[in-house]
Amino acid sequence: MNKGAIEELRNDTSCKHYNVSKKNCKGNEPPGLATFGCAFEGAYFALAPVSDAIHLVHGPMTCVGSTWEFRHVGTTYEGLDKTQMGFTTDIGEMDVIHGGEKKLARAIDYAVDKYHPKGVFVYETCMTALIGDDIDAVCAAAEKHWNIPIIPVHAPGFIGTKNFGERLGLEAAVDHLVGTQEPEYTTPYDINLIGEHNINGEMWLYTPILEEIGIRILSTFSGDGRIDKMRQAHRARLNVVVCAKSSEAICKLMEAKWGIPFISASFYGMREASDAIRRICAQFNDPQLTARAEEIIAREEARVRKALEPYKILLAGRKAVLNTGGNKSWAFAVALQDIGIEVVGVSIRKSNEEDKAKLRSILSPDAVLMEKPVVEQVPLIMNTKADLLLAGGRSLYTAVKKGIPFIEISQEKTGNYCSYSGLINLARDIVSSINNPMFKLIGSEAPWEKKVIELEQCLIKGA
Amino acid sequence: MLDHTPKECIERKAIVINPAKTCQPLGATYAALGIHNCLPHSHGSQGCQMYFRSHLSRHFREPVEASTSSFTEGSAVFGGGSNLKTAINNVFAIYNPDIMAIHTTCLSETIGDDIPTYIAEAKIPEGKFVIHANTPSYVGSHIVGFSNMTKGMVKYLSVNSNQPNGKLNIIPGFVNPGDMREIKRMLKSMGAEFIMFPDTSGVLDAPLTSNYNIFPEGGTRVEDIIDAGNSIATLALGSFASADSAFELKKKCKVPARTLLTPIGINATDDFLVAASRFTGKEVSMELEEERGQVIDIMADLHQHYHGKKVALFGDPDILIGLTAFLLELGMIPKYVLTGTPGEAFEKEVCPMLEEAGVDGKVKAAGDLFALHQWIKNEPVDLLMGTTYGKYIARAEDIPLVRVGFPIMDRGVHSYLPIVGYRGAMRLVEMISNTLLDRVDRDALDEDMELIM
Repeated sequence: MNKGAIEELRNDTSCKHYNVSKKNCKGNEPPGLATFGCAFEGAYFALAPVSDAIHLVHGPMTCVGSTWEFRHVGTTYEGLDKTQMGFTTDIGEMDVIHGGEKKLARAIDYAVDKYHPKGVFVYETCMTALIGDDIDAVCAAAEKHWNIPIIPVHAPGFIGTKNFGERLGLEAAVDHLVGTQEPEYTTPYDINLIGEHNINGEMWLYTPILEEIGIRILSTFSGDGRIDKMRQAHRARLNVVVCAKSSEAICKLMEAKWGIPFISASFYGMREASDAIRRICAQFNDPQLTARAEEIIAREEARVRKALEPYKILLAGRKAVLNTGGNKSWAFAVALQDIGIEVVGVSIRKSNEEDKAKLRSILSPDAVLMEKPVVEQVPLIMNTKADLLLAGGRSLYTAVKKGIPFIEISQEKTGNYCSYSGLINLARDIVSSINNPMFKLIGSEAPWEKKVIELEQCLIKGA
Repeated sequence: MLDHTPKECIERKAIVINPAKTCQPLGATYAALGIHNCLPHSHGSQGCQMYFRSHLSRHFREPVEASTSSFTEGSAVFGGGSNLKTAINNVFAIYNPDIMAIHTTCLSETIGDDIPTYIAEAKIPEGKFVIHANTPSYVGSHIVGFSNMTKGMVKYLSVNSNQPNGKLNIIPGFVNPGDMREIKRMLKSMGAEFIMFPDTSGVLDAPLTSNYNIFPEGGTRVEDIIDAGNSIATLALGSFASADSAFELKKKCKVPARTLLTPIGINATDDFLVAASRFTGKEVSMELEEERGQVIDIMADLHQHYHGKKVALFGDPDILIGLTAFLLELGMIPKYVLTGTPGEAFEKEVCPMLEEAGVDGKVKAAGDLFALHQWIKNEPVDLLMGTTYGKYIARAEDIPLVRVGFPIMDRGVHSYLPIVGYRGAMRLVEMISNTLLDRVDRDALDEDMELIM
């Protein structure tokens, strides 16, 4: 990728926070701090849910060796689910010297010949970017030979953050795929879900509701995704950005090229889910659709309220600290408030200006927005006497060491907390975390370390 | 749909499917965590270190702190010197470790960053240490990285000051903290004095107390690694992860070195204890002799349940060699032995073991799980032993899996308990026989259910 293109991407002036902070666009952490994901990871995770494509990582083995199957993404694909496999060219010493293009070409040939995928995503990594392999040329030649889309994804790790990589990955897919095939049929209510990765099948907690209302999911980028569906995405009437703000960039691309409007929506928490459904429906300006939506929203909200009753009693007065990224920070804050938990602190390290503004509007004025959760999180939990931490995998075990009940909400998590039913799952998991008797043991002294006076009294009594 | 693997085996040169190893920097990070008050530092892009932290955190279920030089495309072109100097300043200002252990990555290796010069030019606070190891990701595996970082410790720290300390050096290899604890317990039981490095016990199996410190109590003290140059001898447990450092110490400080198998099973543990006893002059304790007798008793009680069962093994070379030896002691058949770590030495070591036992098996270095799965498809086995990644094969082929090695990310407790020593052998026999017997119970017809087995 040439330097001009990178700069152009980073200086995306349509970004609302462009003038406030360029950090989210540029995004490398200062050297010497604890570490966060890279652009390759973002791109790989953004596209890996496409289950009828091969995901081939052109780099040393670890880039995929440390990522394949780290995230469980649900798929309904009936063929071989290729998201569960790790494909790599395993660049070695000799390739670094002589170049890895031939190896890449052979790897693509093998994968296509053996697995007959609908397409291949080829991911560039730090190494192959540095040695200057012409991945575009290799992909173009292979595409011609095999007559399926072979998509080069240029997001080497050093180029920036995970968010940035996610955007680069999705843009590669849009550039290469969208508009290259016509759908079998269209409806006036076709939408695309953008930035939804269907982690643990989260998407399936709200897509049936949308379908019940009469909205069709034409294509997803990329949860439960398919190459063909992505190729047809230009026929949608609306793009709905579900996850990170980083995916808005591709919506802008699609708006410019095919005139598809877009809105952002979050399905975490009852209020947000209902709001999301209403806003999606409002875009179609169809009274019948809206009426049906209201009916279903009322039914779902009543169901959730009833299911939450016993939990709300147990959770009343509890406080939580949130350490997650991007829009999940406010999305989960809303969900927690919906089940009656006060949110006393939120990490905003990976949030952009819009996320922060949203957070300020949701949270009480006392709540702390943490810029450096690595340093601030533990004292905050101690000072506020928070009952619960919601965090990702690497913060999780620090919480355990502090004896704080936790719920994992990272991309590797096992729970499923999206939409109406997800809220009930969240309440259930929080209650079982808070109420586990183990937490009474944590931080308490061993019996033989209890105050000496008590022991002496025991002795006196015994005598 | 988990069964992705076609039965027919075709020579693949350009593509690896379902890797069975990870890269050098992960091993270097793990080794560095075995030094007390040490912050591992990755000189490369920021994503790399995140992967190692994720992997290690998931395997040990513990927090793992580490830092990175956070390369940009600018550093990739102009070199990472200024990044590293900034990093060194920040690390000592923010985390304040006693020692910082830098490893390189594929990126910094390829652009040819000269780490020793950067370290020499950096401002290192008084009394603090910075060491480094070259760990290009495109060579070897995490085992090689572990070995290189351990060698780095010797190169930078160990000194022969002509003051013999009467201690025995132990380099345990890439094993769990539970294993390191067990090796130390055996030596303590003999009354032998020793220096073990690296030692992640007390770091990655630290107890939960009300006082959390990002640098837990455990880990080898820097002064002990320095003093390792004055020891009687070094026992390197495992030729792949430990031997190089032992011979580096021999070269640098004239400390005799001896390479042994990772002490898995009866014979390898015997060899370890005999060597420890010879070098230190201490007798193997009654306690250990009793444990040895217990394992043999257990093997006598249970052998009919596992005898002659075929096993497919995959993981890291030293552990595999130890396990292969033990499985043969148990009368089992290690049918397939596959490691992702490259090196002909692995095949050269394992093949004769199988030949001697008359086992017609397949052995492969630099392999991937795809290849292992294909072998199993062509000739099935009764048991699979390896890491969490084996669960996909186990399910596709309906074979029971005993989880052993690194990484295990879907079960707990494994990192606290040993597979080395006699106690470890006991645990392995329990895991293997229980897993096989659970399968017998599961598959038995109603009328064939047995109470006593």
